[in-house]
Amino acid sequence: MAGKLIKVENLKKHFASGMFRKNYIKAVDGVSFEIGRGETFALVGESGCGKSTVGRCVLHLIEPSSGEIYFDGINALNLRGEGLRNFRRRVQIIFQDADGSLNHRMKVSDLVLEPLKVHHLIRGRGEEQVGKLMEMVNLTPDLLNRYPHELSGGQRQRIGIARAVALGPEVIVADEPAASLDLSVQAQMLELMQELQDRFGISYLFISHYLNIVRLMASRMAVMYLGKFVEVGGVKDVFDYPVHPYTRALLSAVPSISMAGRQKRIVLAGEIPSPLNPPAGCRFHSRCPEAREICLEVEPELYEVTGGHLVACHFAR
Amino acid sequence: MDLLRISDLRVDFPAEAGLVRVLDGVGLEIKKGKSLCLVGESGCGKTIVALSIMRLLLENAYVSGEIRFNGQDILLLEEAEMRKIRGREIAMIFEQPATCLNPVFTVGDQIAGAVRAHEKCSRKEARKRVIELMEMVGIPSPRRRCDQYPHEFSGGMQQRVMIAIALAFSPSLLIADEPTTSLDVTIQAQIVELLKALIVEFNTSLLLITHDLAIAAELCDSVAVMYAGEIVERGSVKEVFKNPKHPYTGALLGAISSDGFRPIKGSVPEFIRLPRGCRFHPRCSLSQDVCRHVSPKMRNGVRCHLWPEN
Repeated sequence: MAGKLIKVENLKKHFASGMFRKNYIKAVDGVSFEIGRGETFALVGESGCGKSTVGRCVLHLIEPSSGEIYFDGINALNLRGEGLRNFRRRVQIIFQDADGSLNHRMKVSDLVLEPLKVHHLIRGRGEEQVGKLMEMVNLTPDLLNRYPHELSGGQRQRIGIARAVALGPEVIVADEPAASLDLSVQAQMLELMQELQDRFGISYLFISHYLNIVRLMASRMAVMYLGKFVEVGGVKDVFDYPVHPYTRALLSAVPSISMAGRQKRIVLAGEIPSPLNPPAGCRFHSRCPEAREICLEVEPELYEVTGGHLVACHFAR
Repeated sequence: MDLLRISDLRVDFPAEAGLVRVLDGVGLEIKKGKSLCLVGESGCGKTIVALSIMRLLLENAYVSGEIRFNGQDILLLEEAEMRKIRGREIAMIFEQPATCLNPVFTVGDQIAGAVRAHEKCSRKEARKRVIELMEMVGIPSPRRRCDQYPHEFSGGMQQRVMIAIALAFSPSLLIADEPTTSLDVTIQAQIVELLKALIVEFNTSLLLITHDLAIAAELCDSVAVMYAGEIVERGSVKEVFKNPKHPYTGALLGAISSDGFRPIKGSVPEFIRLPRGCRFHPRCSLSQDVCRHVSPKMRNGVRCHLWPEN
């Protein structure tokens, strides 16, 4: 099939807020992207930029305010009943907080079986299926009768991954999958995710604010700021030739061990403005070191600088 | 002379299974105006070191060894004497600034509290000093913001307030426990730059505690790597990060690097089930027979049998 597996068009999600629900927080304000089969697409940005909201819309966990989401050519937003159940089987999630997403009163074996149970896919007592899944995420069978609090953080996250892959999904939304783990274990988890991708051709929507991890995991990425994409492109293009001033600042802010060969850090003044009342014109102008008059008035559109590399900045042309 | 010299620090906590030793023979030194970073994964005991220095450990902890601050062993001090050092000579900032600030007092009151505990001065003078301090840590429009409450401040701004409180006494040692971990990258960069500038300006020594090697590399002169309650490697930042001697340091540096993932197998051991011999040997790719039986000693800045001079 030539089409992309996931296609998101002009997605918007506004949350009503304030005493009379008259104000709107524009958490996501018109983003479009596509994810191909077996591809990893990363969403990068600081907290509150709307990246998790995009993930939850793609998962059909919250209803977008407007826009379209196509999954394998079908309009995912219209799905109900059997169609939606089918969708849930094919689109799964890995959470940041494995501990919070596992029921503390369930044994590992029941936790791993739960998704299969929900979808009535258990064969016999499911022992064989559990064994396969445990092996897939490199856990030993002796853990099957333990409870989550008896496991390490890394083991719990592996259980979370086993639950996500149990139904043989085609897309997994991974929302900061390694953020709560120690460095040595983080690498294990990300390597496991790559392994599963190679084996089953899973596509990932990878949400993270760790840029050095995104560089290794994803093939394409989008940088988000206040609900909009400011730069979209191949990971190599964006990292090696960042165009948008926000991307450049974000990249230079990442602390690095090798001090040599590093450019001077661009320290952004101020903080992310409230999405309740984003700045007029370019949303980044209040922190942008290169802002000029036009930025205060006209909102820049995404513009293709080179093949597949899009930037929303007046000075990118 | 060293401003801070810790030698052979041991901390035990009583647990069901008996005493659990969470720090074992920790030693480190910080000179005046210099900075040291304690790096390690969660549960390795780095925060326990900080709390031992501040004498803020729970009363059921058994602490032995020496912590010399300006030549004086602070483990031997009476609580009343310690109170003169804590907060004045040695100040500390934490990972979660929100939990350290009192939500029902204005930010200005809380900084003023620190100022007035230090020197007798009128409310007016204290307020002037508060505004100076807020300016110094880069809080915009301090005259207005000092009358606001902590919830009106973002995480980065709250951390600046904590830094202002810590610096109100011009301490000779600042302990920063994961000061940027809860912040976004661009805000993290702001706080790192601020700390860098302030320790030079105040000629304060810094003990930074972090799991982030890169922050350590940016802020500190020297580094001590901890694993399971022990320091496994010490040295200048340049030396250690360029030519790591201990296999654990090397593995940490290489775990997520520009050429891919090289995870360390297994996970950090629990203190009640520490491996025999070298504590890192079950996860070490270079481990040999001797590592399984004999616990290595710290020599030439590294605790490893495989290092040739040992």
